Amino acid sequence: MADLGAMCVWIALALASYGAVGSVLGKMRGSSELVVSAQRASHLTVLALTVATLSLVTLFINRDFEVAYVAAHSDIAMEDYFTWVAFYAGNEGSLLYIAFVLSIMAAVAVWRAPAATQETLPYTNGVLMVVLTFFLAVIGFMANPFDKLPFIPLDGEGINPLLTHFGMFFHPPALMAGLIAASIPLAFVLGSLVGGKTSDQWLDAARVWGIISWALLACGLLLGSWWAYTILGWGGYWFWDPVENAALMPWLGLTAFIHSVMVQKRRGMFRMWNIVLINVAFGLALYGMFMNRGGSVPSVHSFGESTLGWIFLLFLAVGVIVPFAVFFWRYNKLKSDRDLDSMLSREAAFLINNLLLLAIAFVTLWGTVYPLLSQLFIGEEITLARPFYDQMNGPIFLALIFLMGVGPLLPWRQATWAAVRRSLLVPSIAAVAVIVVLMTVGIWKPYALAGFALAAMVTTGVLQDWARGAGSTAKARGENYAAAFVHLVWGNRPRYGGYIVHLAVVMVALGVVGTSFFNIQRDVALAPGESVTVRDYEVRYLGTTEEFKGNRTEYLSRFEVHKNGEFAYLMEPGRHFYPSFNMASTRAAIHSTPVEDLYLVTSENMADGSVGVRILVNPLIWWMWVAGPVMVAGTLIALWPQPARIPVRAPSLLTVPGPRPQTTGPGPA
Amino acid sequence: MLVVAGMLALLCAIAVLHPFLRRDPPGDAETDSDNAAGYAELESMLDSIQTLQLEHQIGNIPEDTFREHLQTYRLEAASLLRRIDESRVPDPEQDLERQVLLARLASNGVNGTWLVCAGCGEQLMGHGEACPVCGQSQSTTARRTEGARRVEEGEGGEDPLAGLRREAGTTPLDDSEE
Repeated sequence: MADLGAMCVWIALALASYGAVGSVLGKMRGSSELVVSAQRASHLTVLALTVATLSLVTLFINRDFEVAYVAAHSDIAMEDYFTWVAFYAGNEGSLLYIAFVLSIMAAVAVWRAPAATQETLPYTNGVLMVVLTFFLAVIGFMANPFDKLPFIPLDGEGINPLLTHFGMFFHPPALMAGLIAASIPLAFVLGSLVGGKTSDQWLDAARVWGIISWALLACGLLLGSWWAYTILGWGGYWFWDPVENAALMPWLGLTAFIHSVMVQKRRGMFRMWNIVLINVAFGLALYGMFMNRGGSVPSVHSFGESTLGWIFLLFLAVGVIVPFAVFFWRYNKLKSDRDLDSMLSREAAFLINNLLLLAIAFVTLWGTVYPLLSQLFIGEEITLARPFYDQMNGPIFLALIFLMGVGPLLPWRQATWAAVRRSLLVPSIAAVAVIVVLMTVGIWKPYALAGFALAAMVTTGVLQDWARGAGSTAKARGENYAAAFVHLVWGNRPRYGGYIVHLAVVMVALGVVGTSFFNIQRDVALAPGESVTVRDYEVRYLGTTEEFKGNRTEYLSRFEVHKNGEFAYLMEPGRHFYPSFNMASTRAAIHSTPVEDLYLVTSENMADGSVGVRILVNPLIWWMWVAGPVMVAGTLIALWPQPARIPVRAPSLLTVPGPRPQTTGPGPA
Repeated sequence: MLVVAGMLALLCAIAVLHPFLRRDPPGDAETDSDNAAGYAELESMLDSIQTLQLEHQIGNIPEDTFREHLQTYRLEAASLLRRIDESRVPDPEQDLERQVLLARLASNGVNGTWLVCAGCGEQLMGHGEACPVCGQSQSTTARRTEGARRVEEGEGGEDPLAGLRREAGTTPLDDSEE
C-alpha cells in the first residue's frame, strides 16, 4: 500500500508538471490538442492523489508501522476515528492533504470557469499546476509520507494528545484548504493578465473563489479558537500566536478583496487595487504555509520539527515577486475608466474598509515578524505579546465595525446627507440607548461601551434594512411579512447573505468585548469538600477519579456548582496524561449560556487528593461559537448561484404594424 | 500494488495522449470569450439596476437621485450592448432587418410622426442634444432622417438598403406590402 501511495505521488507530480508546461505551451503555440491534453493531465491529478490519500488512510487504519509517518503519528491504542486527524498531524500528511485539496479545487475551478475566462484558461490552469507541482515536488523529494523505516517497530509513537479533539477534525483541514484556495483567484487574475485580457474577465471567478477561501479560513479560525478554548487549558481562545496570525492575515486580505471586488463588479472601479489585494492575500497565504509547515517560529501549533522552512521561503518569494511582476507588466492597461463619484458612497466606504483591514494585517505582520527582525538586527529575540496587538488593532477593529454599520446603508455612486441621516437615525438611536443603559448599570469602560454601541448600531441597521425591504416587498407582492422577507433575501442573495455574515461578525465582536473587558479568573487549589466563590458561583470540589486507558491516564474531577445559594449543576473537567509524550492534555468543563460561560479546568492532581483548578467566568463568549454556523449560512446564501438570465432575441419590429410605443425617458423599469 | 499503480499510470497516459489522436476543429475562443465578458458586464449592470430599485424601494435613495442614477445605468447598458453588437460575428439576416427598420423609422420621422436615432434606432421625442440611450448627437440623427427624406422624395442621396438591394437584385421595399 505504501508503494502504491508513493507511486501515485510521482504520477501526480508528472501529471501536474505536464499540465503546467503543456497548458502554457499549447496556448502560446495555438495547439488546442496540447491544451486539452494538459488540461486532462491536470484533472487526472485528482485521481492519482485520491488513490495516494486513500493509501495513507489505509496504512493508518492497518497501523502499518513500517511506514515512518504512520509510526510517528499513531499507535495501537489510538482510536480509529482519529485516523483522519493523524493523517495531517505532521508535515508529510499535511502537504499531501494540501495537494489533494488543491487538485480538486483546481479541477472544479477549471471545469466551472466562466465563459469570459475560457480564452485564458490554459494560463490559469498553468498557474494552478505550477503551485500543485511545487507541493508534489516537496512531498516527493523532501517529505514523503510513504517513506519506510529500515525496521518495523512494535508500536507507534502515537498521535499528539493536543490533536485528540473534535475540533481537530475540521480546524486544520479548513485552514489548510482556505490557505491553498487563495491560489485559485490569483490563478484567474494571472491567467487573464498573461493572456492579455486586462479588463474584468477574471472578476466573477476570482470573487467566487475568494469568498470560498475566505469562508474556509473563517471557519478554520473560529474552530481553532474553540479548540484552544476547550483543550489548551488557559481559558482563552486567541493568543496572537504566530501561526494563528499567519492564518488571520490572509483572511484579512481576502475580506478586503471580497468587499472591494464588488465595487469593480458594480462600478468598474478598483481593478488595479483588487489585483494588488489578491496578490497580497496569496502572498500572505504562502506566508501562512511557511509559518505553519516551515516551523520557523515556536508556536502552540508546532507539532513537529520541520526542515522545510527554506523551500517554503523560496516559494513565498517567487509567489510574491511573479504576480507583482505580471501586474507591473500590464500596469498601463489596467487603469479603470471611472473615478469615485463621491466620498459619501458605498464604494468610498469599501475603500476605507480596505485600508483599515490592511492596516490590521500590517500590524499583525509586524508583530509576527518582529522576533525574527529583532534577532536579525539586534541579536536579541523580542516577542510582541497581546497588549501590543490589543492596543494597535483594537481601535481599528472598532472603526471597521462602525463602517460595517454605515457602509451598507449608503447607496452606490452618491448619497445625499438627508438620505444618510434618515438611514442612520434608528441605528444611532439604538447605539446611544445601549450606551445609556450600560452606563446606568455601571459599565463605564470606553472601549467596551463603544464595542456594544457599535454592535447595536450594526444590528439595528441590518434589521431596519430587512424590515423596510420586507415591508415594501409585502406591499408590492401582496404577501405576509415572512413570505416577503424570504422573497427579499432570495431575490438579493449576495446582499443579504453579506448582511447575515455582518451579523455573525457582530456576534464575534460581542464575545471579544465580553471576554476582554469583563471576564473573571481565579486559580486555586482545593481539597475534597472545599469550595471557592467566584462572583455568584460557589464551586465545591468533590473528588477525582483516575482511570488508565491504553496510552493515557485519565483524571476526572467532579465539582458541584451552586448559584445564588442553590445547587445548579455538576461539572467534570478532566486531565489526560500521556506518558509517551510526557504531556497532559486538559478537557475543560464548560457550562455555556448566551449570557456567560462558567469554565473549569484542572491543572494538577496532587498526591493528597487536592487539585489545582482555574475558574473563569467568560461573558458573552457563547455568541462567538454561534457566529460560526451563522457565518457559514450567510456565505452559502451569498454564494448560491443566481438563476441565469437567458438572452432572448427581441421580436422583429418589422412585423409590428404602426408606430412604436413610447419607451424613452427615465423611470422605474 | 505496483500492478495497480502501473495500470493507473497507463490509464493516465492514454487519457493524456487521446486528444492528439483526434482532431476537432478549433472554435473561435477569443470572440466567445469577449462576448461572454460583455454579457457578464451586462449582468453586473442589470444587478446594479436591480439594487438601485431595491434601495429606492426601501427608501435609501430619494426619487431624483434614483432617476438620475437609473438614467446613467441605462445609458451605460445601451453603450455596452452596442459594444457587444459590434464585436459579434456579423449576421446578414439581422443586418438586413436592422437596415429595413432604420429606413422605415427614418421615413416615419420625415412624415412628422417621430424621429429615431441613427445610432441605435431609439425613438426620439424632441430635439434634444443627444440620444438618451446611446448618446449619439442629434445632428447626426437629423442628417440621417434628411437623407431618408431625400430617398423617399427622389431627391437623391444614399438609400440605406441600396447595397443589399443591389446584391439581392430587388426593388425598394414598399411599406404597404407588409
